[in-house]
Amino acid sequence: MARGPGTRSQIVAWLKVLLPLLAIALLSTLFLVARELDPTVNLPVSRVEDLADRSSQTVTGAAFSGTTESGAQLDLSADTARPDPEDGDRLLARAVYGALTQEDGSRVDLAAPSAEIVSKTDRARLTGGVTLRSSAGWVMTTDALSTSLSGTAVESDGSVEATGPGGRITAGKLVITESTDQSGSLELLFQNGVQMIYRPPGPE
Amino acid sequence: QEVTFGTMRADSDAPVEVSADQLSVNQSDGTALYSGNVVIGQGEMRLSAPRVLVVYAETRNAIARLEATGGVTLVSGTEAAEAERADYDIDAGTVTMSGNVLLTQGDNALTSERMVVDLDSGTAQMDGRVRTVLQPGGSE
Repeated sequence: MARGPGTRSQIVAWLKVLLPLLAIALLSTLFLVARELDPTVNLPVSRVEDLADRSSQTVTGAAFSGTTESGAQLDLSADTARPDPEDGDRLLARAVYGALTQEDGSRVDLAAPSAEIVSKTDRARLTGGVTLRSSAGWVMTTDALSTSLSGTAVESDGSVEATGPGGRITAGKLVITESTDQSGSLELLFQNGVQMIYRPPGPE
Repeated sequence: QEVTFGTMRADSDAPVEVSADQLSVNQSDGTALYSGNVVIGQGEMRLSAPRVLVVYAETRNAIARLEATGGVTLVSGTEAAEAERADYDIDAGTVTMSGNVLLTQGDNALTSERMVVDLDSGTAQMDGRVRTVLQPGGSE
């Protein structure tokens, strides 16, 4: 084979080198520039925080009771109670019933369709039309009232209507506290102007 | 001494209205105390006092008496009577005023220690050092 290498075999020799290089280059682009593929991105997964504020935390038949230093007992119970989504310290309750019993037995029963209980500030607010029934035969209604959880301190927001032994009463405000004399019994204070109408029973 | 009091006879079965600044009701014994310019009204009669205590009848659902204290004024029609204290017995329809009672009727005035006003019959019975003060001359 003395003949000088012809141009054909030169080309073939170069091709034997260039073609595999080209192949390698093509293969590498396949992996290097491929799109970022993350199969887990669009799986329907909800994280734990999303579940927190669902009403999955509703408590049914919740009950709260506290006694004050002077021995008065406050019991609050609700059909349902759940934490307020915006403010974790507030408990929103539905169909709330309460009883405030003094040591000497005088007591006031409260009932309201809704309530907010903030144990941190030791207060509960009953709203949506509150009815109060006292042991001395008074029945009182008001729109909303707030009460302390650890003391005898009930205060109506606005006007109150009451019927009882004294007749029918409307007043600008109702405050229920412990009477100052040591009997420690409940004292109903009708304030901001009181109007009372009493119809004497006809001569029997 | 018998005097007429109150031109119209107050009907003792008419509803009694009480208005005041504040009312405090004690739950164990049920006493109720009105305080702050209390005005008791029934028919034509107005009784005003700084403090009025409600005393219940035994049956507890009826009011037996209203005790007004601290300077009382009783007005009925054109006549007015003042005293330190007044007990308004609703069932009997009488107001018993005591403590230097002063009754003014038109121009003349009577003072006494006690006066019992019968709202139904419109008469008042004054006793205890009754003195009449006549205003000399007509009113100018």
